[in-house]
Amino acid sequence: MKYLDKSCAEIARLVGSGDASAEQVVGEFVEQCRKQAHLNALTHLAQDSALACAQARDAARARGQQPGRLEGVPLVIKDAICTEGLPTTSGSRILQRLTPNGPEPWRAPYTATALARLQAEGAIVIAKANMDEFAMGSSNETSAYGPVKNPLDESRVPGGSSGGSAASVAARLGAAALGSDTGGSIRQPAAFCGIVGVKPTYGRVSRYGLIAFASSLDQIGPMTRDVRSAARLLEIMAGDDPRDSTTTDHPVGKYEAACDQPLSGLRFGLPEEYLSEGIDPDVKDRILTVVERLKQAGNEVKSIRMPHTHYGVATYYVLATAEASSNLARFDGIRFGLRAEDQGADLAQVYNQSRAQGFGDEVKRRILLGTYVLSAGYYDAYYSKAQKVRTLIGRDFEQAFGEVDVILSPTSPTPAFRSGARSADPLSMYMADVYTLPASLAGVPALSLPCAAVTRDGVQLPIGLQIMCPALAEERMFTAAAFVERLVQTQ
Amino acid sequence: MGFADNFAVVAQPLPRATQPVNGKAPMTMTRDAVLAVAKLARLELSDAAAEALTKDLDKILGYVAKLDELDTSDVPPTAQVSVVAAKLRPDVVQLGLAKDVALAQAPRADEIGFLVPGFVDES
Repeated sequence: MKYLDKSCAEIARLVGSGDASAEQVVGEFVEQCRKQAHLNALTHLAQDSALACAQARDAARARGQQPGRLEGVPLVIKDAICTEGLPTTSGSRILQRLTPNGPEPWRAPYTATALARLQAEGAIVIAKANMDEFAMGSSNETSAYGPVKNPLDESRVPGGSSGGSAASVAARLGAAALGSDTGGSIRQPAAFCGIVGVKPTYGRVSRYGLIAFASSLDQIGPMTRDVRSAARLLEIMAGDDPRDSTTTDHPVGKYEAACDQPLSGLRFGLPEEYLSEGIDPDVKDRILTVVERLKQAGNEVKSIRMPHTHYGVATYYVLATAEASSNLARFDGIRFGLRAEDQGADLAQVYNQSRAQGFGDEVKRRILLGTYVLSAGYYDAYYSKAQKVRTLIGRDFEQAFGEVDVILSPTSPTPAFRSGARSADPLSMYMADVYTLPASLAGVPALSLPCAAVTRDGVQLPIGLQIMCPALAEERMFTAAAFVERLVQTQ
Repeated sequence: MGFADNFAVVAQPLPRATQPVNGKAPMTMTRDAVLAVAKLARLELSDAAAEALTKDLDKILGYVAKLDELDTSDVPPTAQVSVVAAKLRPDVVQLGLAKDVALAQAPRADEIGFLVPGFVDES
């Protein structure tokens, strides 16, 4: 096994320089995917297309084509992201059509812009990652394809909703993965699996080809084992896309180069609210230890207040479910996926039954909650109220970024919890996102990186540090993250 | 019940017991309200599911009532956090998905379009 532990940059260099072939690299990762099948991290292993793609890249380079910045890098793609020709199910039964030959997953007729840009630089899709159904969950236990195990402790969850992507990176099923983050779905599983996960600024990366959950929040982002690889992936993915009108044409920064920049007097803020009610004392202790080391290294870290932090969960679960209830209306059994049709059923019955059979419990719960908060008589009490509180949460960030350049916090109040521990109580599951939701609601970029570990039942579990920056300040975020990464690795 | 009746519920207020009181969020979710919302959302629910969802939604909405602690009378709502204003593109005709590709994975289709049960009442 020569390549499994290499970073994206190292693999691209080895393949680009001819010291390795893309076929060798992909072959090794495919074998690892097979060995780790019991994790259930993947919904589809694209062995044939990945090897064919690798051979084609190798042949093209032999003919003189310049290697890309991700030449031969095997990627695992969250199953909410469209991949032309490969199955895309968003973790749901409703994207499986019943045919005489058995259930047939929907195969997207196009590829998401973010992924197409990575492929143009030589990256190769090796597999699709399991996920919470329609990205609704924080433990990867709501997938129609079964739960994913955390590779670090298989009795624990990998986090969610991009749990399959995070587990894949931790277990070396791909050199990197793509996830999507609506309220923490990249950062929280990254923290639980001990990897790096980035939610970019809202509008920084195109969502064309991402199956929508909550459109005012959704972002695609990279999940990697090191900060530099995440920076390289984001630098390639980011930028204007005429197919997503929320993308900005603001110039894309030099994220990878930013990893080598000095901190040059960045002021760090530590919000008191992120270390208060509900946090595991060990998580708090480890975060404060990292903060102490940052100070010892000569950095200014001040305590700040973000008073509306603990309203994030209530705000998010009104707004995101409202948007989801609208976005998921397209799954009606008519144009793709599952169709339930009893003899003599009328059109409404086809809709009602297809959706009843196709959606899982958590998706139904959120569709109903979202429909309720948007319905006549409740719109003002819930939806409009939550939109106003969203403004207050955004103001918390504006004020904080008037005082400091970077905000630090734990990514999650706890390390990875046990499978089944929260699945019977939706509200306790929603609380797992308490520290990631505010940045999503404010639209600012946030990154999680492993910064320490705690021991639970004899197993070392990683703790994630969340680094938040103002909108479009991704370069600053990567400079800070790379500094912290070096700091914690030299312990 | 005819197809049109299915839409009649849209204009109806939800069952009375769950109306807001003094503009404050109600604290009690009822089974009837869950069933009415399910109808709006085009989701068939079993009795057992309706029962369980009533309890879940009641608990979640009870938690959401926390938002009422905040005075937001002078706060404008946030619908989008885009760093750009909504963009316009030139009004140029572009090819979309080819029809055969769009129809290829439909559960029921013919060469003309998607097939659905008839829903126009011609009586």
